[in-house]
Amino acid sequence: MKKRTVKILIGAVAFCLGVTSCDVLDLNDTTVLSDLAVWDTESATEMYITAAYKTFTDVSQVANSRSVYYDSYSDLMKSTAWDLYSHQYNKALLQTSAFTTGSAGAFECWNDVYGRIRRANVLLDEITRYGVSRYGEDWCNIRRAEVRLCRAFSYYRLIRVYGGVVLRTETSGTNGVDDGSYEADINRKRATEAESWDFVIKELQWAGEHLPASWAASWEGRATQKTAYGLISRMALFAGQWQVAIDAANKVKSLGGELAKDYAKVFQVDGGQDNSKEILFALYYLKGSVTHNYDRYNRPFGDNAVYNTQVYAEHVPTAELADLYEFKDGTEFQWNTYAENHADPYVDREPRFQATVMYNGCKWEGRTIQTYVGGSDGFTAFTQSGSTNGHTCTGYYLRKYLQENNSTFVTDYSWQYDAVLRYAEVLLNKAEAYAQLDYDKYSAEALGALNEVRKRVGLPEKTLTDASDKDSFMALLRKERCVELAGEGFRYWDLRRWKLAENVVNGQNAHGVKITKANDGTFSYEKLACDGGSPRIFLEKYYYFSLPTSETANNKLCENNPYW
Amino acid sequence: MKKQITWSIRLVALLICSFSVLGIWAQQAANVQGTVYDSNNEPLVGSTVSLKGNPSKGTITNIDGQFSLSVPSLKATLVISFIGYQTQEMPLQGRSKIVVHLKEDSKVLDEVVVVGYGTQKRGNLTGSVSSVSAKELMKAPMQNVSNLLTGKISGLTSIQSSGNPGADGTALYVRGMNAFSDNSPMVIVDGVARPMDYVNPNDIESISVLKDASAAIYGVQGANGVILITTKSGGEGPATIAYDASLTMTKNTAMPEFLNASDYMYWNNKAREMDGLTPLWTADIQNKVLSNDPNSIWGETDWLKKVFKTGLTQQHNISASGGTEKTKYFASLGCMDQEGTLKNTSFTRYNVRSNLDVQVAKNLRFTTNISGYRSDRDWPGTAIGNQGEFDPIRQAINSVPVIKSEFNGLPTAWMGSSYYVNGYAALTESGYKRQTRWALDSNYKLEYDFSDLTNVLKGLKSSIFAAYNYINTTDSNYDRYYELYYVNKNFDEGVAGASGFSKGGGYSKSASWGDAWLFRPQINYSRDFDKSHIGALFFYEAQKKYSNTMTGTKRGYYSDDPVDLTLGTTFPETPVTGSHSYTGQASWAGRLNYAYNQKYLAEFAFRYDGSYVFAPENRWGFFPSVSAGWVISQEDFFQKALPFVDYFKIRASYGESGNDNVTPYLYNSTFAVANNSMVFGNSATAQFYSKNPYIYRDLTWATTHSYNLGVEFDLWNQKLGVEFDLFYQLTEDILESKSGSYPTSLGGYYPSYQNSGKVDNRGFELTLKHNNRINRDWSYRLTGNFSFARNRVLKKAVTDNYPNYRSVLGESMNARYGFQTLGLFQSQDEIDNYPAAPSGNINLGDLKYRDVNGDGIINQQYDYLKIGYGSVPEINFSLNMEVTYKNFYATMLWQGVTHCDYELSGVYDTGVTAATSYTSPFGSGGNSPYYLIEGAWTPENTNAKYPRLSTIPNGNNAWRSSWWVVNGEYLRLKNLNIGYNFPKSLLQKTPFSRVNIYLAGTNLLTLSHFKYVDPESPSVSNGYYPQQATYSLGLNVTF
Repeated sequence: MKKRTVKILIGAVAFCLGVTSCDVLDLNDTTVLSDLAVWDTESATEMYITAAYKTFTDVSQVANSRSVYYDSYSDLMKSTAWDLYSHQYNKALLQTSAFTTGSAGAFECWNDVYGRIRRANVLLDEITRYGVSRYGEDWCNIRRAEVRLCRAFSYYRLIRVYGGVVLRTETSGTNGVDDGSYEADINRKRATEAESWDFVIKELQWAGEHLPASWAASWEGRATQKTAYGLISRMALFAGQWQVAIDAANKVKSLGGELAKDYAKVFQVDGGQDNSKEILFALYYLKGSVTHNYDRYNRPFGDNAVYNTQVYAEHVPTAELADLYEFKDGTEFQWNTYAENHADPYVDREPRFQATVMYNGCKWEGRTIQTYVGGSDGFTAFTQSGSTNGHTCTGYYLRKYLQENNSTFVTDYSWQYDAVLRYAEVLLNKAEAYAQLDYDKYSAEALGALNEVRKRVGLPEKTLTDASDKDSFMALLRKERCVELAGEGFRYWDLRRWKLAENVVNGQNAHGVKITKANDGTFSYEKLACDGGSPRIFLEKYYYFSLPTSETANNKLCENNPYW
Repeated sequence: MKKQITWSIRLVALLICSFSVLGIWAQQAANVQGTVYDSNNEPLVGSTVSLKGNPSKGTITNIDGQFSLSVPSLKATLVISFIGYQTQEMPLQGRSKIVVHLKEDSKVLDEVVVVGYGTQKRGNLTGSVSSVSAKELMKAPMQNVSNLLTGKISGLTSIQSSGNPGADGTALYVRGMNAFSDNSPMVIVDGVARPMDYVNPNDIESISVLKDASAAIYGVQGANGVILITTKSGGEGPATIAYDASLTMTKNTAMPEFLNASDYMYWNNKAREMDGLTPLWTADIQNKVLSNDPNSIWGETDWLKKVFKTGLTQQHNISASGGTEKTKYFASLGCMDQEGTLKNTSFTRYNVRSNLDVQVAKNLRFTTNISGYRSDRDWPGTAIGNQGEFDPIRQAINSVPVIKSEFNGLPTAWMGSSYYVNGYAALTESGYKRQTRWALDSNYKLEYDFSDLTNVLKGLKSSIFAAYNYINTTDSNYDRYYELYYVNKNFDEGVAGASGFSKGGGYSKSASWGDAWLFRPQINYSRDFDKSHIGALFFYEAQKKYSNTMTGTKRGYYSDDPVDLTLGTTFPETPVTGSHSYTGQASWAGRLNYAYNQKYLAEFAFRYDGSYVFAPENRWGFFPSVSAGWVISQEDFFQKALPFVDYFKIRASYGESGNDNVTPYLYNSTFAVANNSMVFGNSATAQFYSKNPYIYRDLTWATTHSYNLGVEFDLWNQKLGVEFDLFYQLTEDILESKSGSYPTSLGGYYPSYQNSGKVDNRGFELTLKHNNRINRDWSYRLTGNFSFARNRVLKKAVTDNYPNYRSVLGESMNARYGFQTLGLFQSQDEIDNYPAAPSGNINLGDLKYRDVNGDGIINQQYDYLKIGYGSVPEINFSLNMEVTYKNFYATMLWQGVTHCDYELSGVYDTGVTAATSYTSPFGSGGNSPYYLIEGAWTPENTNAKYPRLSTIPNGNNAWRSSWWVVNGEYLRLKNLNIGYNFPKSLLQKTPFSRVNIYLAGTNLLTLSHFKYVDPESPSVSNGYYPQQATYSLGLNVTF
């Protein structure tokens, strides 16, 4: 008995020692990859590099229409909700307390964008550390160009909200580690706005020199030379570098930029038209894998009944936008005079009207849109703090980007691309740059670029008689930008760039058209304000929003914008 | 006489030799007679008397407490036991007539208390340890263990925030809070960290709570206190088979009454009138509603009544226990079937357990506890959650009482804002969320006792303890698409799919499994030398845990039952996901106790802990503790001076323990994958991105320094027992976010966590006990607990521009901050002279806030002030009363808390500030409770309790403010139990040794400040799953 016990004891001690020696603490987080794994194969590396494009998806107008549909901050579009669906649009426009010191409110993006910038900096550092030896300098330069283009876009997102930025361009800092260990890295002055734009434009120029003209089919959708120069033409307008904008626009043209034939089909995934020459950069989506909810969030109310499901109509065009569209013959639309030559306010309008706006009486998926009071897509007045429950509050619905006959938008969602950069914009950028540079000298070029955009939709050309001086030309150009680029998120930033928001937004209201159907089937139209009773607010200080407190409190050299 | 004994020994020896193989014991003529009394000299009826070593030979005392038993020899030893009394061994030493006095179990200093990694006599304790026995615990049937603890242990705070079957456990706090996050105590079941709520309450022998330095032996995880659960084990004696059953009816403790159809239409029209809108409910519609017009959707429905019902819960337990000197067993089988008060919610649990203790060889004992359970939780497909978008209760509240519940062959729906709501259909039509869980827990311990080897090793035991747990969980979620016939505010009618569901439905199945092992070689030493007692303990402990999950989803099911994934016709964007994790801990620990003459007590303990959470160079920590006690009542001078004092002890302790419950692996650079996040070349690609930009190598655990000073005394023959503890706990190095310390333009590449927080926590606990037996028939017992714990923030990272008056330093960690309300606007003049409101438009009758810094703008950053206590109460009290009259007994537990608040409106978990159904009239376009509407501000009711009557939700009124803070203090009748024990005399002729029936209830009466919700309800909810009052009928039978 005793012997057995001793044996058991010896065995037990041996077992104890055995278990003790196997370390239970050296566990690695096995659920993630190491940086070496990411740089191990080219396909993995490409997936790491292309993550840089996420800065574009952050502000995708189709995929993020609930949070960053910028036209609804302007006079062109109207959000139908006060704060439902996380909408900030009406609150930002109508509340006195919408913007305060310490935050850019609805436009707050400082921390997030700097997160993107940091990742881009790390990527650039790792390309040099791991990439060069593995893939060679040429391969690396193309990727560097992509990352630098994306980083420039990130800075663009910051500058348009805050003005001058804190430039952070490398990971090494002043002492080899840019991790907040050294005051010199923590405290960095803001560049001036002009310096910031200079930096962005130079980065894009470097990218333009190194990016390929096109990508192999399997990687189509990554930035090309045209993307870089197209973006330069946009950003140089912000910078006031007119000649740079003109040169970049011309470069895009020489690289093959061209307008597609049919305006409406530019926004249709299956439009059967080759849009590749017009679209210089787009964010692509794919049925079944990478999708968004644009259709569900923007379809007309009547689709509730058609699809037995809930659709929201979260953004609707205003009367301000709808009234800008000319008649086919180039005459202006006026509520008090249209009836002299036209049976209905909505017939005979130029093609972009049909392509952008759904109006009472238009055709949509085989049915007739009824936005009149009591109609299947009927009008509901906007009230502050409320929502229209998916009805229009302006008498219009948005058509641009909606995929007509995508009947599975509930189960399969939406997958239309977001055309981030179109050649039409580049032409308008060029026209504006020529006019700003010296309209008297370059009026032909300016008008030429503008007319190229108008010609595509069959509108008569504008001439020197229509725009005898810079101011009258700019008025035409602004209108053209509204109607050509409506719903693509330009207007609000344009108003800030032109410093016109105080006139166009502040103290104003957006309007809608309340349509009443008489017993005899005729319609009467009443244009009314649709902001729920108080005027919109855009104060002078809104041109440069407040930096976040986290920056101003901790970066001793960083000064906040005036008035905040 | 002597000769006779010798002879009998010889005979016995002979008989044993002859028949032991067959296990047959021969009868012998020796007969013992005796009487069993309790400590008051009352005869004890029905106590068990058996022969030590051969429990099958036993009898039961009669009505006069007498017994007669034949024994093999008058040198034998008898074992006398009775429920509620200490089991006593009585060597006959030749006597054939004995008198036995059994001592009551509960009031004895020799009572053995379970402490960390061992047991101690209560008299020798130097730490603050509270314990509760099975008898105290099982006052009324409850679904799980955590719910049973409320009010029963001093220093333990409990909050039950939901009554949802399968998720209705109680959050427990030992001595309040010590850290900014994670304040839940460690739960140890039979020596291993395991979840409390899957233990069968009937299996529990005792629960101990380690509140001070006594928890320090749990090292890096002991800072929040430790709850030790010990399950029953068998005792020597004949088999006892017990059957316990109960049937429980459950009802919601609180739910406000909502407007009926005619009141709804009246008040809604009136509110619209005040909003300047035309009345919605025309006479025509009113007539249709009230006449229940069959041709329209209009008709009256009480939606709350439709979603709730009376729940029914059954519990059945059978256990068997007993054993011989060498083998002892306890085995049980339990079943609990719980039906919620919300329709289509239920939970069932089956528990089995087998605890075995075998002497396998001389000096070698093997014990094993094996238990398992299977549980089934059945919830509807629509998620239940107090802040959930589509929560069925919220849907019932957000509907209107003026539509039929069904129309045109479909369930109806109201669309008052952005969703179609029908709470009843959400419960009955939406599919299911089912969870089945299987678990097996097992403990194995081999213990060798060196005592018998040589005298030197006397008192030394060494053991190897191992545990293995396995758990498997399957979740089946079916989102069934269903259609509703809706009407909205514009009176558009139509058919639509339910909000949140898409055609074809979706079904997902997820399997989670994991196991954990623990290994602990241990040496124990316990020995008395003359007047000294020495105890020592030393062990190594290694544990590792693995868990794994895999989830598959498919959509497009065209039948009412998805059966399984295979029948789905389409794949979603991410059809399959998986995850896994490992955790590990290694420790060395020991303890040394010394007691001199049961008078001077001292203890030292330590634990050297290594946690996988931190970087290797910062992984190991040392956690010491010391404590001492002085039993003054053992001193002669004290006994002479104060003879009425039975017992008086002073004790003090200091210990350090840690809290490592923070994100692990922050010392590693990690990448993550965003699946299918971008499209290139017409195909979806994944993107890799770095997950944690900053590498932290120097993070460590938070350390709690815990000081405790306690006195315990018993007076007047234990008529009055007092226990009083004062404590102070200082926690430093709390891991906190310090994102406010670096410019964010560094892109997150800076340390945003640091061990910088510091908090202290002080308080006291007082327990008073009074026991009295008035006469043979009447006795009573009173136990009162009062505990107080208050914490203060001493150091916390806040941004530089935090105004002084908003300082959190010196305030309680979970204090509430918000606007201070100055009342309701009563005149246009007030509105005109008011600063910019935080949001919304201001009208008469809206909330007016104080502009603290006077900058003309009311905003969160500068105008928040402290507006209330947190949700964890600072003060807990309870009073337990027990009265026994003959065979009847009644117990009553009153329990309450104070110094706590909750909020009806404010900030949701998502960070959004918005109103709730309790604060916003006709919120989300739905119905409202009477109190809110009838108490709302109207021009006729300006001295109102609630803001302006309106149909338009006003952001201004939704902010966190003092207006919506409700005092959370309450006093409630937590348990009431009236029972009857059938007299032994009646049972003598039956096979039963004990039969008990009772009526019990919980949460029967609640006194609180706001009667419309339960005071334990969560803040900011739109209709949470209410806690329940229960009414039970129970039966206990012992064979």
